[in-house]
Amino acid sequence: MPKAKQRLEWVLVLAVWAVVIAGGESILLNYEIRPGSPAQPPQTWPLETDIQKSPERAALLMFVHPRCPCSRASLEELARLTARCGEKADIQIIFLSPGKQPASWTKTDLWEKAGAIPGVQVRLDKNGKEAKHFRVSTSGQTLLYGRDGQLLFNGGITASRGHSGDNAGRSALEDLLLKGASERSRTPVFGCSLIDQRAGFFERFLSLWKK
Amino acid sequence: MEKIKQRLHYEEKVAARALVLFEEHRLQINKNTDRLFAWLMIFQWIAGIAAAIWISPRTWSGQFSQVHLHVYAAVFLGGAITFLPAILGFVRSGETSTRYVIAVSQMLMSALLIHLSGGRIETHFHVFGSLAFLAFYRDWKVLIPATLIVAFDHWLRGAYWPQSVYGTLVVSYWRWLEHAGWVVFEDVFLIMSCLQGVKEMHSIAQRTAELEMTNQVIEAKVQERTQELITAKESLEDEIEGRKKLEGMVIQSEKMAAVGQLAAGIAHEINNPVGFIGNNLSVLSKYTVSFRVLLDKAKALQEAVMQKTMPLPEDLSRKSRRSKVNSILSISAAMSTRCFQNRRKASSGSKKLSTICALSRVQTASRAKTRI
Repeated sequence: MPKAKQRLEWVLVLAVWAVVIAGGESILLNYEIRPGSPAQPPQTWPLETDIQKSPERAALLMFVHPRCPCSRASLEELARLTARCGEKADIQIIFLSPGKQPASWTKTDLWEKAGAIPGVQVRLDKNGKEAKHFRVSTSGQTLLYGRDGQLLFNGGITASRGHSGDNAGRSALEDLLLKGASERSRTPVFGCSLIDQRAGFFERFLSLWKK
Repeated sequence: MEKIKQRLHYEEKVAARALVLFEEHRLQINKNTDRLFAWLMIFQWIAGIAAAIWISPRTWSGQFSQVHLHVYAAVFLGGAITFLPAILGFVRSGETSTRYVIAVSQMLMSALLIHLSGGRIETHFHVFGSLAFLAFYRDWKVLIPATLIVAFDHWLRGAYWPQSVYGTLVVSYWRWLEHAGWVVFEDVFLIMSCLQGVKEMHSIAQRTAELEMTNQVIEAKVQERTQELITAKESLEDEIEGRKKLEGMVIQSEKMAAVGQLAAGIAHEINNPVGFIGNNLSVLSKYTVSFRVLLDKAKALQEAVMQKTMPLPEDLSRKSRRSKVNSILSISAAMSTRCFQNRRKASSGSKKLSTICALSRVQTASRAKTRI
């Protein structure tokens, strides 16, 4: 029965094809929703930091790896946040600047994009010193400290890696800045690691399957 | 009754032919669209790789970097999504299964491109644009698997990773329907467009079939008339040929008549002098005979004188005069002979001229061989 055999072959081809695609989509999706290492920032403004904070105003910090593609979405969300309630806090974007690298390594298109956001201050973080002070390890990590220096928010402001759009983190910050309170104070961060770390191809591949 | 039967038979033939034309047209549309999509899939795959390399080429850990997963996804996952519909589009174009695979693949490619672009709102337009492209098939059923893929994707993500779709962790269970609903909204209009397109194709096929039937009837009539014309032409050619021959004969006859008249005229003109000459020659011949008799007598007389039977008259006694008489006798003998010969020739020529005259008389002349 050649026709039946042909049909069976056709079904097998489709099945294999569907499995391959489903597997690929799963890996991609798993990667996109897998957050980076969460930060453990100090609950109060650290005294050892060089970043100045006004006692009159809240301070919003975003730590960015200058070459992280996912942080492009984080900056877009920060721009939206700034447009809505930027006047409510001092907003600073801190770019990682490894000591061995020249300034051009850090001043990428993300640096330009950050500088173009109105009312935002952009600064270099030499050798990740400030990141260490605030115990931040993932690009896109956003911290909000109140006027009294208390940590109000710790997390990311994108829904998944590199995806801009409505998200829980931005909503929480808007509520905190505009209303003074939010149901949520912590969200996952999606971005590249700020800490030097080498991993082989298979190690990375296997890490994609981890939740 | 006969006319009604003929009419029904004609309509059946037209309907059957219209159906064949419609299927051919639809198959051609499907094949063309399959090939178009095959190329589009390849182009999208390349564009996806370019986008991944442009937007997210590497992932970083401090100072160290590696190729971003998006690049691998663009190459391998994009290739997996592309290869089957592209192969089917080129090798099995026109098949139903081909366009269904293409529909599913196109939506999967939309999802991948949205991932690679970082969820850009603009990239979501690819979903709606792809549905419009799928309407090129004019087969509304193709939109079903495409829509189901979009709906399934949103349902699955909404159920397990709502943030990746809606941006919030808390989402109503039915929200995926809202997103799919926009797709269905477009589908409604595309389905209407497909049905309208198919209706137009039927109409075109029907008109084409009727035109073909009419052309066949006209062609048959033309063939029939052409054959009639050919036959008439052949008989006309035969008649013309016959008439030309007759005309040739008439012309020849006229020529002969003209020649005869000319000859008659000439003969008439010649006949008179010939006759005159002949008559004069006859007279001359008689005179010559008489003259010869006279000369014979003169010679006899001379001979007698010579033999001295008679005295020679004084004027003949001289030798010179004797020689003159001899020469006159010989000349007269020659003249007599010549006159006799010419008289015979003149008589012969006169006979011939008479024959020519007879020939020139068309009404009374009869064919006869003659030497001219």
